[in-house]
Amino acid sequence: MSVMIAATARPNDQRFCAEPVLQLSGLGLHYPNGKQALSDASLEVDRGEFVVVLGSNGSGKSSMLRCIVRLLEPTSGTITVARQDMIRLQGSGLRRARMSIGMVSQHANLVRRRSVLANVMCGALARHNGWRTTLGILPREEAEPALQCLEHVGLADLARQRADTLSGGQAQRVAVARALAQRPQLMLADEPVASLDPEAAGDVMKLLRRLADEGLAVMCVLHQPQLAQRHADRVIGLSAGRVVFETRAGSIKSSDIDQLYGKRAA
Amino acid sequence: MSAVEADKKDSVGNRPLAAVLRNFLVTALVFLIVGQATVISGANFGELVTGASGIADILVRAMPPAFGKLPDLVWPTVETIDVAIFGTVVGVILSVPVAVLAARNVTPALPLYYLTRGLVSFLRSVPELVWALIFVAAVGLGPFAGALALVFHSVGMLGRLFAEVIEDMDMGPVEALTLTGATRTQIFTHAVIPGVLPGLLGISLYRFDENLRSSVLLGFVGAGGIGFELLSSMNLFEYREVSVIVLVVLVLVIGAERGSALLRRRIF
Repeated sequence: MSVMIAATARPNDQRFCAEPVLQLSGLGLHYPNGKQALSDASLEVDRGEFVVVLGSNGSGKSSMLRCIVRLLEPTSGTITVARQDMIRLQGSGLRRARMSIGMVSQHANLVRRRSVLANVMCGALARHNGWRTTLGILPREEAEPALQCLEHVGLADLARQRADTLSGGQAQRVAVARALAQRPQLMLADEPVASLDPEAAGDVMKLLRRLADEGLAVMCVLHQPQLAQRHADRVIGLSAGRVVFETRAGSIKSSDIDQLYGKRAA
Repeated sequence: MSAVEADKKDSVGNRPLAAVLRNFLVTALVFLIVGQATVISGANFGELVTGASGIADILVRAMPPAFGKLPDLVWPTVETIDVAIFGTVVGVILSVPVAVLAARNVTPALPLYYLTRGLVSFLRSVPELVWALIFVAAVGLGPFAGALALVFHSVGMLGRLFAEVIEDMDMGPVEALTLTGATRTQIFTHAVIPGVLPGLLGISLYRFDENLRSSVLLGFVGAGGIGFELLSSMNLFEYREVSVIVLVVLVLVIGAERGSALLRRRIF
């Protein structure tokens, strides 16, 4: 698996050592209805670091992730991913930049009637912009790397199975494998364990932790402070679109949690 | 209940007077509509009773079916089936791009959405028989006119149904592939098509079933097939031939219905 991450992020490459993979600076987002989703939000995620963003519903966590991948257009600030200014990118440039960002959502969003392997191979489509993939044919040369990605998430034996036969936890791990097939430098996870039981949630969190240990920059949005403390390196608290605290995962205080969720969560 | 609340309600059960009045008016309106429909359509059940002897006479004259006519019905039956196949297959092929433009969630531009929605509404609102009359005038008598009529009407029906399937599909995989950096066409072929294909195939099979019935009827206006044979035999009062043709139509329709139901079950 290290082959896949190393393909885009070599340990000796000074670009990756010197600068954070993700830099947000003064990020702001106004929805057309006037709601301020993000306000002057700034943060960084380094290579090999696992950062968890905590916050209550409507605090702007998901909006932040959607701004990074440009599903939402921020109204102010800058977003830099692996030295690329995301805000300026359009068309094929934006597609190339998205290829370097893996994203896992609350739902796995797999194509239900296709095999697990085919779903993972879809993660590599952007590298094969020929007539075959345009006609719906999967690039055969991506089968082996896709299998490696599945092996990495512990599901290689389910490669030929249809995606709609998987459990929630398995589907989420396949979604991670699909993101890995992109050979990303940054992995974003938007409440990836929200619909999973505690055991499956733990498996997904351990997997994200392992990816960070292997050199990927991982940023994960969560609601569970306990999971953040157990698996993350650093925790960022978001409230009303603002970063209200930033701390090492081991040093998180109950007052920090109160600040986000009120007294009940403490 | 307080005195004020009690004042608001009438003594009819526990319901307010306004609700009772509204129900009464709705019931009266339904009776009025059904009543006027009965009068305008000239419904007279007495005539049905007195005409029973005529129906019985036709049934007697239709028995036994003239099975000797069967060899002559092979070609018209093949024609009828092929008109339905052509109308369905070409209709499906044309409907897919139309549906993509007419689905709000994937259409490339809103004006195209309104344009294609208008087009499929128009194609659908003109009955198949009218399309057949137009094409008989344009390309002459024969099965091709019927096939074209089925194509036009099928695009009207399938264009809308396909668009609804696309609009109802799970957009999660589309977003997921967008975020991998895939192109629009790759997203369409790798996420949209696999997501909607079972729905489209099911609707297409159902459409073939419908088109087969329609292709029998289209023969009545000169579009060939077994319908044309049925009309000719009726005009010549050859009721024994009519009965065997009706049997063939029955076998065709039931066969298509069962076949398409079987295939639909296998798809889903």
